[in-house]
Amino acid sequence: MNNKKKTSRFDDLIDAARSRQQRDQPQLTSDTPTSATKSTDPAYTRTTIYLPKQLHRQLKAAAVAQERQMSDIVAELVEQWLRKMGSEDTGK
Amino acid sequence: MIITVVAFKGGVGKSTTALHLATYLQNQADTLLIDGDLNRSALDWSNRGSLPFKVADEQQGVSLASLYEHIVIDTPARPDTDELKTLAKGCDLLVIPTTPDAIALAATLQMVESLKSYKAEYKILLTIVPPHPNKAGEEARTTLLNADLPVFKSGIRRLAVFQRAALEGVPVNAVKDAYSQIAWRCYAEVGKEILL
Repeated sequence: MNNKKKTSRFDDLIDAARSRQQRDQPQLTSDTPTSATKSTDPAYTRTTIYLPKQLHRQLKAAAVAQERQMSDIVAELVEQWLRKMGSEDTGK
Repeated sequence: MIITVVAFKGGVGKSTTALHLATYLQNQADTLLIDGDLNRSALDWSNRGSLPFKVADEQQGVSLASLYEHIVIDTPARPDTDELKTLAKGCDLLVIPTTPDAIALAATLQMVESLKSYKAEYKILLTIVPPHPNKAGEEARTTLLNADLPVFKSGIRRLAVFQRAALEGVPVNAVKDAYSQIAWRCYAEVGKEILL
């Protein structure tokens, strides 16, 4: 009947079957990364800081080169700095 | 999972294969058998008796597809190029039943050739394999394996119980016959291989 505009009589069936499979899959894939990100982790908070443009660019490039997140690098540096402050305080 | 049963040649156990794979898959999850063969032999089979899964034609199947985990599609002998292309690209696995004789094997090789361009996943199933000491089954398997083609480890034996099952409109495992479990095991093994 309406076979003329379709390439074959199985097109609609395959589309319907595929859309079910795709409906099942993205839920799984989109669930896993969100649970692993800091943005959804209650142990993390988001903050804004201002960096000189050049420094920001260098930080970004270095993070990419080492395959690390800028957040992790900054957190590490801040921890180091705080520790240093602490030891200076007790040293006085 | 979407499985399509295709063959260029008729009478190689296409509908029987589709029906028994659907029976096997229904044990795992809800399964829909699409009778895409215009002879409607599977629909006919299900009208005669009772099958443990839902059977529909390809048009009814469109609205039903979302309700089922597994879909098995039975096709006409000599599907046209567009049909074959749609099915080859759209399904997860093509099962190609073939009897172990020269004519059916030639048709199977032709089918495999036309599937190459679609990069489809397919596996060949030897059907209606005559009993020992006839070596036709083994010889056909050797031929296919030598040609580097994927073949199911399990073959389907030539057993009269398959005809009785068709007559009664049930899968072989529901027939009261000394051979029904042997016949069923042939397909159960194939089902296992598919879900591996």
